[in-house]
Amino acid sequence: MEKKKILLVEDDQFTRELYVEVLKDAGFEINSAVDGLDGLAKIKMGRYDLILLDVMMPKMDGLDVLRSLINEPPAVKNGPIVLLTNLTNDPVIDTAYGLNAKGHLVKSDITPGELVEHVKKYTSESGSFGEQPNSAPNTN
Amino acid sequence: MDIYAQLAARIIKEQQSIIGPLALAQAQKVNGLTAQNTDDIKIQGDGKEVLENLVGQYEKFFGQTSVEVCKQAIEPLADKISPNQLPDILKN
Amino acid sequence: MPAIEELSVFLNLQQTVLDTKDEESLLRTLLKSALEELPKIGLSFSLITAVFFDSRGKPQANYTTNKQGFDNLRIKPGFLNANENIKQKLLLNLLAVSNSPQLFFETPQNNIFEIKSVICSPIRVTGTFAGILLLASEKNIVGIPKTEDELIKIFTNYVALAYRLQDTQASLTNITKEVYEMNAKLHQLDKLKDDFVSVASHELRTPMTAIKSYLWVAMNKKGDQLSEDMKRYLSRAYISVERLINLVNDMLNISRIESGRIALKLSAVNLNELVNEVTEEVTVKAREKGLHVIGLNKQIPKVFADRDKIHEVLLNLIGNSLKFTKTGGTITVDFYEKYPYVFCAVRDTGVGIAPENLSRLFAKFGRLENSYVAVAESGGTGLGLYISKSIVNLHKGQITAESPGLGNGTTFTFSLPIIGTDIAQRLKDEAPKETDKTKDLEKTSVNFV
Repeated sequence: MEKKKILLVEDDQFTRELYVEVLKDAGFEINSAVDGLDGLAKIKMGRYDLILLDVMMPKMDGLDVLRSLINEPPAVKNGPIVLLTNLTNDPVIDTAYGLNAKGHLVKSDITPGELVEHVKKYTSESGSFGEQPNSAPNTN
Repeated sequence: MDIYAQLAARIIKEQQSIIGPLALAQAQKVNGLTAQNTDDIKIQGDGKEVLENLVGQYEKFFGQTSVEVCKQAIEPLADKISPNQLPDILKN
Repeated sequence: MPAIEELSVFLNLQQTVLDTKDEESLLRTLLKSALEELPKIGLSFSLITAVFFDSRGKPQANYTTNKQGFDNLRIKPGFLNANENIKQKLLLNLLAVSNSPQLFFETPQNNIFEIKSVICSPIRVTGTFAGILLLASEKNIVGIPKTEDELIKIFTNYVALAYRLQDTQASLTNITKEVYEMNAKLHQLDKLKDDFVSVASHELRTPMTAIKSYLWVAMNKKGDQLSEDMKRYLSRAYISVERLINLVNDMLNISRIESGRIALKLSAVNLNELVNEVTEEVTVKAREKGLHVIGLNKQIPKVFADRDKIHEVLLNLIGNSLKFTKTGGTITVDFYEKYPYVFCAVRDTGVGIAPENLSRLFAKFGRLENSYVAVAESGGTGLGLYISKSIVNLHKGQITAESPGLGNGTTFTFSLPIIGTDIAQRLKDEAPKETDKTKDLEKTSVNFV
């Protein structure tokens, strides 16, 4: 089976390298971007099955990336965009859902093992885009 | 709510957090401002002038500090309004 | 028998005071009105001045009104001391007349125009000599007839009343301003504290999460074999950093609760279901420690509560029980109804609590007095019960702890209002509502050795 392609947009080096390593070990093909602009460029080149998007980044933050994608949708389609946040209750989360984010993960809440589980659920063939894994924190 | 009503609402709410119900009571004395409660603010006439009167009312009763509080209250809306739409008393 | 004219004049003066909207200009308005009204009853003055003294006898304020052409007159400082016998009369609460206006007033050109006499009327407030009313006349006054004397005294009292009113208002305004200043400072400090907690917890999270994640990977990397010692080291480091994360979350939550930034999202909640959810969540960790967690399904009415927050409370209580109960023990969640509340009791067969320690349980970082034994032993933050209590109290419920004593287990019981009751209605009306300033609670994980 072809490997699922994931884009990770995360500015913190340790977090980024850890997630890349863990997801690679889990059998995913993974690219990364170090800030919002870099991320946006890579998203536009596209064909990712899943995009993990951090919020707080230099040059362009996660929300602006989402806005940019709404204003100028990329020619190439991508899978869902899942937000990465640090706080369970960031108001950013609701804003992101309003900007077409399909899910969110709280970095400080999940273990790397749980990250892999969530990513598997988001990229599973049977799951439809927009379905949140059961154990993701509830928002209204 | 138009921008002036929004600005007025923010100012009144901020004043409320400092001086409680007196904030709304003073606001209700301002000409051109109808304030049943902080979620229902209406401005009649020149918004800039009404805003100036509102801040002036607070200054009269609570002193100069209250003017600073008014300025801080409208900071989050800074990018929605241009400087010349603001009365002098609220300019930095 | 007072004449109609006099009554009419004084009525007008009264009305003037009553009609003045701006309390701070009461005296000025009264005096101005008097200048116009008093001539109607034969009291014609060119200038009226009210001078007030402070408690030490120093002049602290004066209010003057005058006819056209008398604008340049100023009160001479120390005018009273230059007039010893006038002073004596005033102190005896008598009117006095002076035919030497130059002792009272001065002008830039040093000539006193047409003022020939000055009537001095003492103002007494609360039994003390508070000021003098000076009435400057263009006529040469030799003595004051009795009726005029009385009329001037009546008018002086009006001035005194107006002054008292104005002064009280000024005091109120000053006090309000001072209170405002203090409140503004407190408000600022409160905001700073909130910002600090917010930023600190944000900033702290990244490195804490990195530590936690890398430790997890170190412990779980496929293919790498770790020695037992290494596993233990990493495991303890992992648990410790989880404690740290929980502590930061707890502090953030407390800061939010205390600043009133927590809103309640109330709905009808089935406690049986909620308890079952929580039991599911902890089942793995409980089994690892050889503990049973049982939720007794009882017929109880739904309660009016914020589901997520009560979830946290249950997690906290059950988590505590798991912490303090040895292998083989049981934690039972029971319910009973006592109108208008439903009571939920989390009972364990754990280490129990000595009676003298029960009261400190719900305090922040509850510690025993005169003892270094932390109540929050083995892994807690010391804040969980405080947060649980805050949440339950916000719901208008109560939370209590009971224990037959050390070694005999503990029961934590909390109450929540039943839907449709008066209490539930009051809760609905009074609960903090969601605004753009309110936040939810950060979730803490169940953490124990």
